[in-house]
Amino acid sequence: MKLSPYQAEVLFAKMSECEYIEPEVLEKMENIVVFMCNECGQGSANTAGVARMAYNPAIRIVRVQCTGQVGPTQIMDALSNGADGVACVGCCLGACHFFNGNILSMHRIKLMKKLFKELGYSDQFVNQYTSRAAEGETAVGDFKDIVERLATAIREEGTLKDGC
Amino acid sequence: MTVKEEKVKDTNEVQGGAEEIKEDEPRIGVFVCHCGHNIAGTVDVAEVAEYAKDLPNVVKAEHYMFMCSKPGVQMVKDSIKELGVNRTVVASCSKNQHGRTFANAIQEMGLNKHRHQQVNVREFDSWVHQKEKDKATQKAKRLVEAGVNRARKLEDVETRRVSTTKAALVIGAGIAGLRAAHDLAELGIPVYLIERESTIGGHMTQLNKTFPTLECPQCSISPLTNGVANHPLIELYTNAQVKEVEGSMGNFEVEVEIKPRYVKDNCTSCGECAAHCPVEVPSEWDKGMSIRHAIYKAYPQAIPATYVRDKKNCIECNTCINICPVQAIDFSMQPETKRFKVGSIVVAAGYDEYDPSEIEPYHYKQEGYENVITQLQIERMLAPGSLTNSQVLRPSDAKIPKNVVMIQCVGSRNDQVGNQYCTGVCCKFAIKNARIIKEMYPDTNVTICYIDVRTPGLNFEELYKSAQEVGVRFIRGRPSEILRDPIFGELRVIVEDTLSQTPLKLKADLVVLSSAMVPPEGIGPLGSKLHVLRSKEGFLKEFHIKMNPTLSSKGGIFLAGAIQGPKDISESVSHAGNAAALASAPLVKGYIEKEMLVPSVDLDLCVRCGLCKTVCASAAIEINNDGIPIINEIACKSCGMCMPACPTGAIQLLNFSDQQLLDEIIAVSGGGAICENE
Amino acid sequence: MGKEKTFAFFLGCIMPNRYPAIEKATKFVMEKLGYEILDMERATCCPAPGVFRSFNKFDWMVAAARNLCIAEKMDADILTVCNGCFGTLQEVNKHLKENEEHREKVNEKLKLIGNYEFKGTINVRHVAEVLGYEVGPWGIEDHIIRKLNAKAAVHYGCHFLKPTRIREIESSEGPTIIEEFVEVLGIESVRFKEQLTCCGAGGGVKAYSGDASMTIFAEKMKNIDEVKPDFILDICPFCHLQFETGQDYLNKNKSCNYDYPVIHLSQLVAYCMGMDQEFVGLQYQLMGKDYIFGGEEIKKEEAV
Repeated sequence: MKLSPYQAEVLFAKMSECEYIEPEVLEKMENIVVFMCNECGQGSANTAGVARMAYNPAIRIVRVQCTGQVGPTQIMDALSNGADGVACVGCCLGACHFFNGNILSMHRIKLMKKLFKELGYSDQFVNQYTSRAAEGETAVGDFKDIVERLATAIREEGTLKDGC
Repeated sequence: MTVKEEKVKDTNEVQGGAEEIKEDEPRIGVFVCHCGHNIAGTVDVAEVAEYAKDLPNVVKAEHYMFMCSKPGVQMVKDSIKELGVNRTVVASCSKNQHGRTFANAIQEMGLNKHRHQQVNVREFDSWVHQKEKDKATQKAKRLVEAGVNRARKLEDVETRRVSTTKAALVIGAGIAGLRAAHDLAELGIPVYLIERESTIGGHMTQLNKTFPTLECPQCSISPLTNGVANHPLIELYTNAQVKEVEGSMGNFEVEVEIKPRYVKDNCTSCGECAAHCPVEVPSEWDKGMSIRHAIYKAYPQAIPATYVRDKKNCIECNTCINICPVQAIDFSMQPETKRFKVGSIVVAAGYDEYDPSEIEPYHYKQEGYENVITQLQIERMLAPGSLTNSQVLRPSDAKIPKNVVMIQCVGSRNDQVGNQYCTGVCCKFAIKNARIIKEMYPDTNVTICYIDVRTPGLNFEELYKSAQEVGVRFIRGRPSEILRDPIFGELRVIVEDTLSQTPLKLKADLVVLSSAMVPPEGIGPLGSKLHVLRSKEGFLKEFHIKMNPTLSSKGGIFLAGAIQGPKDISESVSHAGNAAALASAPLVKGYIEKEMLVPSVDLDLCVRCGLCKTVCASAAIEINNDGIPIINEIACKSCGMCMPACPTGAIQLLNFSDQQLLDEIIAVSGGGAICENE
Repeated sequence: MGKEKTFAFFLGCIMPNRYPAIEKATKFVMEKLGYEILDMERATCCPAPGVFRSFNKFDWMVAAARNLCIAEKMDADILTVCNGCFGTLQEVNKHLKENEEHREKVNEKLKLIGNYEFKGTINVRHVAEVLGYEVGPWGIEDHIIRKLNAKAAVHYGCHFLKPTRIREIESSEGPTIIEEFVEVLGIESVRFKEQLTCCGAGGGVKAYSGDASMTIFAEKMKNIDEVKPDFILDICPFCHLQFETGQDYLNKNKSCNYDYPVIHLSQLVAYCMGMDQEFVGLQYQLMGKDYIFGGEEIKKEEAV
C-alpha cells in the first residue's frame, strides 16, 4: 500500500524533526522491549505497519492483555535479559478496554522511574506511553520518543549492559 | 447458587488443566510465511525458518508463500496429523488478521485453539523496516524465537457454556425502563420491573407537551404504561429499591426492598381518603406547584392506581381508615424483601433536574424570589389539570406575567458548578415552552437568554424558527444575576446582549431557569452495588461510547436511557430498545459461552492480602472468610491486572503467567542472562 | 494566631491623611472592648489591590509581605479598617502561607531590603468582621451607652467579602453581617436597588478614569436616594472618600442635591459606646455637617 502524498509529507516532517542521535549511541541500542496492550497498543503498531511507517528495528513488541498487566517483574526481566530499554504502550486515557489498566500502568512506571533514580541509574530506561489504534503515527511517535530518551540515558550513564 | 455448566465439546483429546502439560511433551511446528513480497521482500524467511529448526522442542520448521491459503493451512493441519505437532507457531501477519484462521484450523484437528501462537513479522517487522533488511531478519528471528518460547508452555483454555436464568430485572420505570421491559417481555422473557417512586412513567409524565410535535406525553406513554402494567410476563414493583446484587452475567441474584404502601390492592382509587385528609404538603411530583395530602395518588392517571400513604407527614388521625369504603388502608404494612434470580439487569434509573439553588446569583427558592422557577415547574403549570388550570401565573401573586425571561444553561456548560457538558435538550424544551407561552398570551413578552441555541435534528430548526415568528425574543448573553427591587419586589435579569454589546436590565415578572439534567440521587450507592463504573460527571459509564453505548462496564448489566448521559425521549427509547436486545440475547439463547482465560491462585504463595481484589475493575475477585481470593470466572475479563498487584506472584493469568511472559521476553531481549542472579 | 486580644493597627493611606477621626474612633472602640492596639512602625501603603497588583503582581506581594512581617515581629494580628488594605493583606497572607514557591521567592527579595522574613504566623482582620462576629451583637450590647433610632444605607464594598473562597467570611451574594450587628445599635438597614455594587473608586478606576468612576457612583447614589436613609454606612475609607467627594461632584456638576452624611462603622460604634459627637468628625467631612446622631441614653442597671 503506497503512502498518499499527505501521509508521506506528515511522515517526512515527523522524521526530519527527529532529534539527531549519534551513530555510536544508536549502535548501542540493540533491543528495546515494548509491551503493547491488546487493544490500542498493538492496534496502533498494526496500523503503523499497514502504512509502512518506518522506525528503529531495535524495537521489539511483546503483546500483553493490558498494560495494567505489566509489572516490575516483567520490566526487570526484560532489562536483566539483554534489553537496553523498556516501554509500555497502552490505550489513551479514558479508552482503556478494562477501564483503568493504563492508569495503573502509569503509576507503576512512575514508581519504577523513581526507583531507578534512587538506585543511581537514569530514569529514562523505562517509559510509559499511550497510543490510538486507528492512528499509526501515535505508535511511531512513541517509538521515536523511546529511542530519544534511551539515547539521553545512554549518553549519561552508558547502557545497562555496560553499567550493570 | 448452582449453575449448570458443561464443557463445550470441541476437543477429543486434551481436556485442559495444568496437570496434563507436564505429561505431554511440547512438539512445536513453526511456519514462516512469505506473504508474497510483503515479508520475503525484506526478511530472509528461509534463514528464519532454518534458525527456528534448531530451537528446542521444534519438530518442524518451514516457510511457505501464503500460509493463509488453503495449501498453507493444510500444511499446518498435516503437521499435526503426521508429526504429532501439538503447538503451532505461524510467523506471518497480525493476530487480528489471521490468528483466528490458524486457531480454527488446529481446532479442527482436535487441538485446543489456544495452543496456537501468532507471530507478527509483517506489520511489526517487514513492513516497517524495509530499508534495513539485515536488522529486520535478525528481529524476525528474535520474534519467532519468542513465539516458540511462548508456545512451549501454552495450556488449553476451555470454553465453558453456562446456562442463563431466563429472566431480567429492569431498574427504573421511566420511559426507558418501560420500553426495555416491554421489549424484553415481548421476547418471552419474564421481567421484574422495579421503580423507586410510587408511580411509573418517570419525568415524561410530568411534561406538558413533547417536542417537536407538541403532543401530549401522557397520551403517548399511556399505551406503554398500561401495556406494561397488564403484561403477563412483567411483574411490577413500585416503592422498591435494590438492596444487594450478587452473581455475574447470566446468573444474578438481586435483593429488592419494597417499602410499604399502607394501602392494599383492593383500593378502588375513589379518592375519599385524600379528600378528607387534614395534612397538606407540597407535591413533589408537581414540583411544588400544588398540594397533596398525606395519603395521595401522585396524579389522576397514575399507575398503579392504588393510593399511597406518606408516613413521614401522616399524623395518624385515622380518618382515611375510617372513611375508606373497602377498608383498603392498613397502617401496619411492613417493608418486604424479595429476591429475584435474573440473567440480565437493565439499569434505567433516569435523571434528576439540576437544583439551581447552588447558583447563588439566581436566588432560586430564596425568600422574595418566588417568581424564579424551573422549566419542569412551568411544565407542571401548563399541564392539563394543574392547580392554575393550565394558566401561567406568577407564584407570588397569581397574576399573569407580562415579561417572562428564560435563562439557558443553568447548571450545564458551567465550570463553576462543575458540569461542563451540554445536555442537548434544554434549548429544545425552552423554545417549546416559550412558543407555547407566547401563543397563549400574545401580549406577554417572552425572552430567552442563551449562549448558543442548539436545536439539531429533524424538525427542530423548524421549531426554533416558528418560535421566532411568533415573537419570542432571543438575547445572546448569560445572565449574571437576578436582582430584586427592595421596595417593589420586581425582578430584574442582568444580562449583556453580546451581539450588540449592550448591558441590559430585563424586567422580569417570571424567570424560568432551564435546568440541566444531572445523574439521579442515589446513583452512587446503586452503582457500587452493581459494581459498574461511573463517568466523571456521575452518569453510568458505557462500555464504548460509539460501538456499545448500552453495555455497562460489567457484563450482564445494561444501560437504558438518561442514566448513561442526558438525552431526550426519542433517544432514550432507541437506547432502551438496544439495551433490551443485548440483554435478551444470552437469555433467549439459553446459555453464555465464555473462554475461561482466567487467573488461578497458588495458595502456597498467597499471603491473603486482598490486593488482587482492589485492582480488579470487573469486580471478579472476592475474598472469602479465610482471606483466599475466589475468582468469578464468568465476570473475569482476562485483563491480567491482578498479576502485578500480587506481592508474591501467587495469582497468575492462564497463558499469561509471569513465567510464560519471561520466556517471551528473554527471546525478544536478545537472549542470555547478564546478571547471574536472574 | 498572634497574641490574644492584641492588634497591630494597620492605618493604610487614606484614613490617616483624610479621615483621622476614623482612626480615633477605632482605637476608642477597641480599647473599650479590652483589646490592646499597637502602632506599626515603618508600615507603608498596603499596596493597593487594584492599581499596584495589576502592574506587577509579584512586587505587590513583596511589598505586602513586608507589612505583614512587621506585624509578625510584633506577634500580633493585623487590624485594618479598610477594604482595600484588607483585600491586599489578607489575600497575600493566605497565599504565601499556602504557596511555598512564591513564599521562597518573596523572602529572597525581602532579604534585600532589610531583616524581613515572612513566616506566616499571624492573621489579618477587618474591624467589621471583628465587631460583627468576634464581638458580635451580643458582645457589644453591654458596652452601648447610646442607642440610636436611624435608618442607614449599608455599603459593604468589594474587597471585604470577595472572593468568597479566599476571604471565608460570608457569602457575597446575600451578606447580613453588618446589618445584624448594627441592629443592636438601633440602626435599621434599608435595602436599596443593586445594593452590592461597587462604589466606583477601587480597582484603579478612579485613578484611571474619573468619569467612569462618577458614572458608576451616580447610579449608586440614585438608588440610595430612592430610599432616603438617614446616613450612609461604610467600612472602607476609600468608599468613604468616594461617597463624600462623589456627592460633592454630582452636586456641582450634575445639578444634584445630595447631602447624606457618610459614616464609617468605627465612627458609629464609637459614638454608641460613649464618644462625644464632636470627635466623630462629621464637621470636618463634606456632607451632612449638620447631622445630629441623637439617640437615647441607655440606663445601666446596677448589679445587685
